[in-house]
Amino acid sequence: MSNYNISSRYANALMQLASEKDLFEQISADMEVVFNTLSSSREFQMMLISPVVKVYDKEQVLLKVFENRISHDSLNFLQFIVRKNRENLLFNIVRQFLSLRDKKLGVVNAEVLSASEFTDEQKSKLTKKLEEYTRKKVRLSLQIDRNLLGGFIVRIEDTVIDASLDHQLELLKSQFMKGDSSLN
Amino acid sequence: MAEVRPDEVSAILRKQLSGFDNEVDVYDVGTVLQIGDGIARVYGLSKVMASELIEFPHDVFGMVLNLEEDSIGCVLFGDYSLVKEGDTVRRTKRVASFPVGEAMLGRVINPLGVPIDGKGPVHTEQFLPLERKALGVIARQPVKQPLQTGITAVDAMIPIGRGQRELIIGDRQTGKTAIAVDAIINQKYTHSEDAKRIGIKPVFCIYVAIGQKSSTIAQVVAKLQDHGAMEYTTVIVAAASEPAPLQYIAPYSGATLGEFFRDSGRDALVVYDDLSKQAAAYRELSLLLRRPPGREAFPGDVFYLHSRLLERASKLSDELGGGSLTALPMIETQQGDVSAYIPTNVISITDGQIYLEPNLFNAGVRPAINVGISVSRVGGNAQVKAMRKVAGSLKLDLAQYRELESFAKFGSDLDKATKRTLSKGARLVELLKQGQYNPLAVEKQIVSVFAGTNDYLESIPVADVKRFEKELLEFIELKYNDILETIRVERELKEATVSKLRSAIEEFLPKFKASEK
Repeated sequence: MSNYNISSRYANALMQLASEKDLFEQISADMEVVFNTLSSSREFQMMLISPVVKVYDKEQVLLKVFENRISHDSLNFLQFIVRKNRENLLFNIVRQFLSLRDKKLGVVNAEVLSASEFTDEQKSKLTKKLEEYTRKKVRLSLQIDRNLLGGFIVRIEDTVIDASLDHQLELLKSQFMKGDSSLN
Repeated sequence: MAEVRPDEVSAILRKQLSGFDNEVDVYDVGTVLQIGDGIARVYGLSKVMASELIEFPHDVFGMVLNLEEDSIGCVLFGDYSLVKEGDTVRRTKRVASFPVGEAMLGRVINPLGVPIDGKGPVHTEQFLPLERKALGVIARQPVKQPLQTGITAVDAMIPIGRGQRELIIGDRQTGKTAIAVDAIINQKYTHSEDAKRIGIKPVFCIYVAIGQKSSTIAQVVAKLQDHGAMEYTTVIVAAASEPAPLQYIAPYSGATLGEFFRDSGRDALVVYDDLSKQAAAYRELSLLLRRPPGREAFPGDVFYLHSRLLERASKLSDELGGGSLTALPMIETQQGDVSAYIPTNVISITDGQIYLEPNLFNAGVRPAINVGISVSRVGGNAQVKAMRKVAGSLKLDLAQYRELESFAKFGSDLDKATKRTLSKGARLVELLKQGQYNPLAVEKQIVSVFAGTNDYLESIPVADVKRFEKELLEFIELKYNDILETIRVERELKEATVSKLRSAIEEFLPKFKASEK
C-alpha cells in the first residue's frame, strides 16, 4: 500500500475519534502544534524517519517534546503510531489530518508569493476576492519573492493564479520568439 | 543586404506588443515525483483528465494514462532526460489530439503531427482527438464497394470492401508490407479522371509505420514516390528508435486522420504496419506504469487496445455522407504461430485475414498467400460482380489441388481426373503469381482468371503461364480493348461479353503456341 493510503487511514481514524469524543477543536489545535514543531525542525523529522534510532527512543523523544503541550488523547495517538511502527509517516499523517480538518471547515490554504509586502488593506481585499473565487474561507500565507519583480502569485491547492510581472515578461518573450509573419 | 532602419524595428515590435494582453494567467500545476524510462509520476494536478496532454519544462509533453488517488502516471513523448524530479508540470486542458487536413497528403509525419520530411510546416486548421469512440450501428451500413488491391489472388479470392478490416498476417520476410504497399499504389487509378467517369470514388491512403527500421520506412516512402502514390498518401512514422509512447499512439493518429476523410464523405485506407510492435510498445509502458501483467506479460486491456482501434474502421450510412475507412492491420507471427496471444486477438477482431507463408514464399509463390486459410468475411458482397462470377470456382479448384498435391508426391499411377485437377491447379497457382509493384486493373484480372478457370491454360506449359497471361492481356488490349472497357464500365460479365472474350482468347491461343520455342 502506498504511503498516501496508509497515512490517510490513520488521519481518518483520528478524525473520527475526534468527532466521536467531541474533541475536534482540541485535537485540531494539538495537531497544529505537532505539525509546526515537525516542520520547523528537520532534525526531528530525520530522527523519526531514521531506522537507526530505536523505537523506544523515538517514543521517549515524542513524549518529552509534547508532554505538556498537547492533550492526553493526542499524545496517546502519537504513541499509538510509534508502537505501530509508522512513526516515519507521522508527518504525513498529521498533514493529512490538517487537510481533512480544512475540508471539514470549508477552508482552503492560499500561498501567496509577492514581490513586495502587502498592506493590511490589500490583504483583506485579496482574501475577499479569493473567497469569491473559491467560495470557501481562505487562509492566506504570505511570502516575499523579489524575483517576481512585481505583482504576485497565488497557489490554492493545484491551481496557480499568476499575476506576476516575471511571468508576464516570460509570456511576452515566448510571443516574440514565436515570431510573426511580418518579421519574416 | 538592405539596411534595417531602427524605426522600422520599433514599429514591428510595437505591432507585436499591441497584440499582447496582460491578463492574469490561471493554470493547474503538479510536481514530478519520479521520472524514468519515459514514464513520470506526478503529484498534484488533481483535476487532470485521462489522456490529457500535460506540459513539462523544456517543451516536453506527456499524456496522462493513470489517475490515482494522490498522483498520476503519464508517458512522455519527448526527451525525458530533460525532465527532473521536482519539476513543475502544467495542464494544457486538451486531450491528446492530431492535426488533420488535406495538407497532410504527401507528407511524412510523426504521431504527434509534426512533419519529419523536411518540407516545412503543415498548415492544417483542425485538431481531432486521438482517441475517439467508434461509430454505433445506426451510423453504419454494410460494406458494399470493392477496394481493389491490384493483387489478383486477393481481389479474386479474398476480396476487400471499403470499410472492411482485413488482417495481413505472417512471419517476417513473407511480403506483408509488399501487399499493403501494392494496395496503396493501386489506388492511383481511383484518383484518375477515368475512375471519376465510371463512378469510382478516390481512396486516400495512410501508411502507419510502427517500430520499424528508419531505412525500411525510407524505402517504402521512396517506392510510393516513384509510383506517384505519395500525392494521396500520408506516412505516419514511429520508428524503432522512437520512445514507446509514440509507437503506442501512432495507429490512433492514423485512424484519426483516416476518420477525417471518412467523415467528410470520402474513402480512406489506413495500413497499420505492424500491430504486434504496437502491442509490445504498449506492454512496455504498461509494465513501467506498474499495471499488472497478464498472458505473455501483456496488460489486461491489450484486446481493447486493438479492438477500439479497429472498430473505428467503418462504412458510413448515406445520410452521413457514405464515407469509409478501410483498415489493413498487420501482425507478425513467430514461426507461423497464429495461436499466440496477439494474433488470435486481432484475428477475432478483424473481418478476415490474409495469411502469408514462408514455405510458399521460398517456393517462389509470391505473393505467398495461403488461400486455404485466408478469408474475407464481408468483402464477398463488395466484390465486382464479374469477378465473383469468374473466381467462383477458383478457390475450390485450388483447394482440390492442394489436397491431391500431397498424393502426387508419391508418384504413383494417377487416374485421368486426378491428373487434370493437378495440372489445372499448378497452372492456376502460376497464374496467381504476381510481381511486386505491379498492380493489375480489375478488368485484366477478370480476363486472366477467366482464362484460368475456363481451362484455356490446359495446353500451356506451366513455365509459360505467366508469359501467356502477359501476352494475352496485351493482345486483348490492342485488338479488343472494347471488351476491357465493357467490363470496366458494366462491372459484370454479360453473355455477349463472355462470348466475345471466348473468341478473343481462342483467336490468341494458336498464335501463342506458334510463337513458342
